[in-house]
Amino acid sequence: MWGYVVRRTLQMIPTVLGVILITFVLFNVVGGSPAAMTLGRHVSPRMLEEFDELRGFNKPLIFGWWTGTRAWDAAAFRRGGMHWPGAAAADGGGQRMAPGEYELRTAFELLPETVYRWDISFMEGGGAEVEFFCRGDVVPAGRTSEWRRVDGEWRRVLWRGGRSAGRAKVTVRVGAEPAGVLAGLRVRKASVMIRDIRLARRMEHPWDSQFIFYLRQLFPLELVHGAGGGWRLAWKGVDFGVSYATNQRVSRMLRDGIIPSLTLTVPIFFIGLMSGISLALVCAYFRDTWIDRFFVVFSVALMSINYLVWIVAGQYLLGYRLGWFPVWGYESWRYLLLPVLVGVISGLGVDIRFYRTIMLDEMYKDYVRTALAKGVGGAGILFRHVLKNAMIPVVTNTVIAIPFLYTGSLLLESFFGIPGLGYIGVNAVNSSDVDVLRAVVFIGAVLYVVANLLTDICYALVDPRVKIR
Amino acid sequence: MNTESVESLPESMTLWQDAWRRLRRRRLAMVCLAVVGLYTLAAMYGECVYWWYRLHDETPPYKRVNLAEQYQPPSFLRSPFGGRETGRMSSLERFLHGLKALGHHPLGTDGLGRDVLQRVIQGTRIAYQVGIVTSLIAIPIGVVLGCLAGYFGGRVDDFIVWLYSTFACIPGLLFILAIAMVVGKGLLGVYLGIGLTMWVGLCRLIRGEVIKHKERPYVTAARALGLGHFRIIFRHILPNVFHVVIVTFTLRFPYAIGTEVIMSFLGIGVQGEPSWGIMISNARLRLWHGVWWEMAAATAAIFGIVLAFNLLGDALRDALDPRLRTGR
Amino acid sequence: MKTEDQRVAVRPLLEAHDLRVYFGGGKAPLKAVDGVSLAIARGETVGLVGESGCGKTTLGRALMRLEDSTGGRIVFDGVDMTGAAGRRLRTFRRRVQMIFQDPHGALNPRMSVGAALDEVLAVARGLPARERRRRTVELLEAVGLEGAYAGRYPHEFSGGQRQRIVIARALAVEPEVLIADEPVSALDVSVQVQILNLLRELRRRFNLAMLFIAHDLAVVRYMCERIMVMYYGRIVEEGPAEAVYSAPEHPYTRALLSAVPDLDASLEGRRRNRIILKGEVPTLGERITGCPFHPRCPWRRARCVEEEPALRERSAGRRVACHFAGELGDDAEPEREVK
Repeated sequence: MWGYVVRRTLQMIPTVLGVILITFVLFNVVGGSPAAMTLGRHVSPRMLEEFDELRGFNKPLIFGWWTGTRAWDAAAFRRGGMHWPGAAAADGGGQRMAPGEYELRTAFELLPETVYRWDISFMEGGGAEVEFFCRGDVVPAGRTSEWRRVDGEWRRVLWRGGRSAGRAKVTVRVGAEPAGVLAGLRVRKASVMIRDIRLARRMEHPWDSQFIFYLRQLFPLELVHGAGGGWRLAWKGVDFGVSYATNQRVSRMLRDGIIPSLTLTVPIFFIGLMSGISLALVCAYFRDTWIDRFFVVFSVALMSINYLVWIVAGQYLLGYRLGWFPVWGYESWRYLLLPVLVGVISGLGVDIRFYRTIMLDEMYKDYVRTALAKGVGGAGILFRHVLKNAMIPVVTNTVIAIPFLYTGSLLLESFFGIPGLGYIGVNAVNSSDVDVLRAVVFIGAVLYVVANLLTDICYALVDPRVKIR
Repeated sequence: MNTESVESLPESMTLWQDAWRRLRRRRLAMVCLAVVGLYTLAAMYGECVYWWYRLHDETPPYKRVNLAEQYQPPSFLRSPFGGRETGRMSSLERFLHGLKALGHHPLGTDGLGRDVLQRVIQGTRIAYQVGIVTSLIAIPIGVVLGCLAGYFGGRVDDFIVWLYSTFACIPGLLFILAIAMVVGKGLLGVYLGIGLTMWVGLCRLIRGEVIKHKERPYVTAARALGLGHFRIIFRHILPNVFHVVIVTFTLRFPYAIGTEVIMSFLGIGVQGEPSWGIMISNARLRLWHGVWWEMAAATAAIFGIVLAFNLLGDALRDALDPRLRTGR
Repeated sequence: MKTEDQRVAVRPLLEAHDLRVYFGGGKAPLKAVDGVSLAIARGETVGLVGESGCGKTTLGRALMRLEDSTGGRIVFDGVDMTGAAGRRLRTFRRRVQMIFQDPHGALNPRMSVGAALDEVLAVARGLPARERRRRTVELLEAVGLEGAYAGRYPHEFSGGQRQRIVIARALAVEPEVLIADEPVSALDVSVQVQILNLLRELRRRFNLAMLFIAHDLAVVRYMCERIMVMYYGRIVEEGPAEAVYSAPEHPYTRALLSAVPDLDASLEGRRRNRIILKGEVPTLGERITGCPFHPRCPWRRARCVEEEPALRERSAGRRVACHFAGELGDDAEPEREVK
């Protein structure tokens, strides 16, 4: 038995890793930094950069030395938004720059003690000469032989026209005082066409990436130098980052949200289970009569009514028109009545159908027929045999539903104003609050995996054949 | 060589013909089919209206604001055969006038004086688009992955099972909302959100069926004949498991429609088009002022199509493959 | 029988050397085929006899590389095919064809007969469309069906007709070897003879080599020149059909033959010679030391439990895997060991 439990537990690992991978691909690879989306378009690049820094979005995705920085707006350069005298935007992006000096002003101070790389793509410019210069607390990095030190600035000729197109990369290291650092281009002799200028920052470590950042949030296991000397592993508590919208720690928000969710979903769960099974038993008892047929049609009809309609109708008719229930809020138990009612009714159709199928499958087994043939009463069989044997699929189905208690009912919570996890999740979607949403999705998935594991173990306890597979 | 006689041959009928025969015997299923047909016509009509106004660069009637006619109840409640202006008319004139009045905003107007019927029809168009596009995304993914996993087994199977069980354990609606959020609000988000999560169940079913069929002698025979793997999968096995696709499509179509309604209602679905979800969202506030007809129209429209598809799906499942009945 | 005598055995067309197929790894694999060697020459029909579950179907499938072999080699026309893959494997499979026990399952229910034949002709032979239509009709007529049946689906045919279609489809690729896996055991007795006659005629017409797998000894005798008897994944006796039938040397072959009703012998004689095997057919996973047949053998001696007999050559083309082959005595009352 223990072997099976261990084996089954190990099988969880790839699924959890899969969830990590999918959430990472969804939010980091496809989604990218939500900074502009959440903060809006009229925010300084510095704020965007701080937003990214806090959430690790300014790192390479999985592995790499170089990462972009918002200090230099490459898009603005390409569309000619630098307002340089002597330069004009060119068709298809880039700028035609007449001879003169151009400062590559960054939107905010570069980071101290950090290596940056300018990457410049030339298009054309017969006879022109382009020189890169930088001054302030900055020194060349990489190959230094081409650099000259003149008038307190470092200079390097990047390009002499002639070739039709070209690209040059300049690597510099910013010192401890980044305030006065300035870089620029000097164009001489003829005008030059520059397609693109980009700035990249060098990471201290190529594994300092978004993926590792994310993993370390989820598995905050760190090697700490212990007090008595020697190293030990320390668990620092799972950290899902900080919510943009509320500025609270996500883990705290989740902790606060779980209780309202449970107060809503646990009653729905149990009342739904009871009523579903009882009605299914009624169907099984009256199978092949008009009562059974009525419930079959009734359950399909219930299934076909949209969740929204239940909510709106419940709020309007029972809450507003009849005034039986409060409509919105989370102040006392009375506020839960209506959402629980709506939750139970909307799930009833599916439940009746499912449990009825299970009961009927059991009814048609030989032992029930034998018992019926021996003259044991219908109701007796129903409770003594059918219900008992149908418990296995019922329990399986029930345990699998447990993770959904945690997510709560997204819609119910957001429309009845219950501050649970579903409410938090919907709000996060509406305000593009990536950290919150990712945490809710991730925990929901992990709970589902764990519930699956528990179901399988319960199953193995009941039926030893399962272990062999 | 003697030729065997033909007299013992059973009546010529393929499996599809047989399923159709069984389906036709069920009156409820045929009613549902008719309802689905009506909705399809409405969606096609809506599509035509949409394109006509788009090509003529005019504001379509379902978007045209007409404050003079706001909050008009459905025409059959406005006593079309009576009223002040009909006083001096003959009875025939009165009747014709009444008919004309019946045709005028038959389902009433909303708060901006827009015709509710036209908006419901446009909602049908959107719902069909969502149902069809999400199926076009989900079905190929589910079928191809399911076939590959079931047929090849081994590492391929391990990978695909891992992939779909990972997808399956992420909470459904939240996952859809997250995809839609990342892709951006609007129809594309709805398509991708629903489509990229809906393939999981189909993939699982197809995989199971393919595993069953892989061991059948006709597949062994095809391998013995030296046919390639992909020909065996897609020409031999797939036609034999295709009923699973049809049943799944019928049962998933209403699910996609329902999800779109919820997404639009939450404000991350359709933008700027009269989807049913948006109608309910707008009507919800007006309901408090006693304007119930917009709500009723959208609700009834959703209920009708979802019910029809659910019942039809059940009937199809029974007709095509009774073994699927227990599967949820 | 005249035609069979005229044939000259040259180099064998399909050979297996020490072929093994084990299912499930680990300590106790299921040894479905355990060290079988055989050779089939062009134009020759070899019968493979054994009870159900002895591994004969697996052997047939392994010869076509439909089952992965655990050990041993398969040689076709002098070329080793054991590790062939991709195009080479597919080409090999087309030169060896198989006919299945269940003609209903062997046909794709969603494909008309014409489409099934057409596909094979197109993919395996690469014929143009007009040629394919012509060949489809020819093939159907060759197996005794009407060309007009091409548009019909498998479920519209009777069992015998389906088997004819399966045979036609196998012939469509113009194979050199035909592996017939119990081709008639699922059919009515009256239809069986028709199919067997069809196979005999086709064998002559196309000079096919054939491995004929069956559990029915009468059928094998009718079809084959050479017989191999299989038990528990191994060949226990092999030899010319007439020789094996008239003088079986392995106790298992004797038992099998004694179960066949012999119309020549008197009723009393038949009853006397009937050998009834005790015990169950061993499942392939079971472990048996010594001779695999010893638990059921009426002639069992101590040596049989200890030592596994090798397949020894007794005379030209005659091999037996029994320690006491030739010493058992003709028709003698088997000596029974006292427990």
